[in-house]
Amino acid sequence: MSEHLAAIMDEHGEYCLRVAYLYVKDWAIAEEIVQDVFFAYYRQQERFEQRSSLKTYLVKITVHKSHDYLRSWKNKRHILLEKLHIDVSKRTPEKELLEKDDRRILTTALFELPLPYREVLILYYYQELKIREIAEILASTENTVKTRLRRARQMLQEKLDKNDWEVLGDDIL
Amino acid sequence: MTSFKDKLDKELGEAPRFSQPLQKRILQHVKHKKRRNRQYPTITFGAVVMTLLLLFVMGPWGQVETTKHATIVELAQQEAIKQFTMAQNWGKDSFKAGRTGWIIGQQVFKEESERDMLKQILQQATVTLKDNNFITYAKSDIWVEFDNGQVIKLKMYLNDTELVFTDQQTNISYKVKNENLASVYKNLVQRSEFNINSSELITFLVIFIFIGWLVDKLLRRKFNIPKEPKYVSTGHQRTIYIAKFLNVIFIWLFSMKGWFLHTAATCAFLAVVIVSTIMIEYYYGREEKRHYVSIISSIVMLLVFFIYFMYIL
Repeated sequence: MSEHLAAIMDEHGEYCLRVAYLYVKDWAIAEEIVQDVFFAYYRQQERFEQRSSLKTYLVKITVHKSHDYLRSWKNKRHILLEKLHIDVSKRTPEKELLEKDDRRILTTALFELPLPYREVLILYYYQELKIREIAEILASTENTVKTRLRRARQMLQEKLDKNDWEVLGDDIL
Repeated sequence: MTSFKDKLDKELGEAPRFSQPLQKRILQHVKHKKRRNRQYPTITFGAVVMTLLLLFVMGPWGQVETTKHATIVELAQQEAIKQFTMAQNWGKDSFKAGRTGWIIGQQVFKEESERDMLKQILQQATVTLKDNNFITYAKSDIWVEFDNGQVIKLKMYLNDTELVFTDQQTNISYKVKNENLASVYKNLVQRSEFNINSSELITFLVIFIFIGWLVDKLLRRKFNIPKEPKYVSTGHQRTIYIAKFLNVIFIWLFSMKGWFLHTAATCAFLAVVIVSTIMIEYYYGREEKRHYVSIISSIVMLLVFFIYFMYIL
């Protein structure tokens, strides 16, 4: 069984980790989330009925776990401490370097978006999921997803230069 | 033109982040936590058993309530009645009155005049042979507690002129020939009648179902809990079916044995049903927060039930 899980992690671990990071903006926490994701999958494998691909299923768990974390007191306390600059000692040099990196234009702009808009961009453009799959993962309607996606594109456009904006292409929903 | 995905990957770093040490850590975590699978049902089972034991210890079954006495007449002459409860019962084999607070649908009598009346009945009683042909129009069970803690259980039969009762412990029958006492007792019996109006019951059921539906709808909207699919997996479906089947069996058994009249039995039944439902939803539908619906619905429904219960009593 461990071999099976290891094989699944080999195939799907990387993008689950990246999705979690794009939600929580912290690699250490993203690793914790991914750990929970694979543990949840391992424990309740029988629930995966292959109605969707394994990738979509794992992304769904990752999204839910990330939501759980963002709603948790742990995260709220973390945000509060960051705002109060009490948590300065926890800021690693790597983290500071990344934050100062001018090349992280898209990531910075993405993190400035509210979560409902950021997540549809992540799932649609980064995970390349279909609108129907996103609606299922987020437990909302396809129209809601389309509306959010349109607004998210507008919001992102305001934050990016014309050159950087081209990354989203001329996708018409 | 670079795509969004490529650009983002470049910004996040193209080297893999999901490292071998992380994978090893997850596998170790999985192996370590595997043992916990049994903890979950064990804790649930333990909690249910502990609740039942607590109710058993606190309840009437856990209390030593009878001591031997020669006759009820002697007992009534020597000891004062502390309180008594009464319940209508036309069944020969069952007894529906009991300790206060533990039986549903019984009337509690603590007033001095009521206690005196029963004391007079008991003191004036004479032992008689059991007459199965005795014509009555009121049959009731009476549970009596004396000041010294002693308890007796009586099955009382009444007609216009006389009262006949049987001590459930000794099976001795007694007769009281006193029209005045029979008349006073008759008034008391009429007062203690426990009737649920059928139209009130239907109104309550409609309100109950409507509130249940509304709470479910609001919670699902608030927490984004999908209604479909109804079951998360086949395991979930199977467990729900088994739980429903067991519930029906228990309801049938409790109704046949008349256990629903016992507050402790009803509470234990409700506790087991509610806890098992919440646990099943938590176990299978935690990702979708399905247990939120079970928990909050149970609280609201219990509250509604409690209000109705206070209204009818």
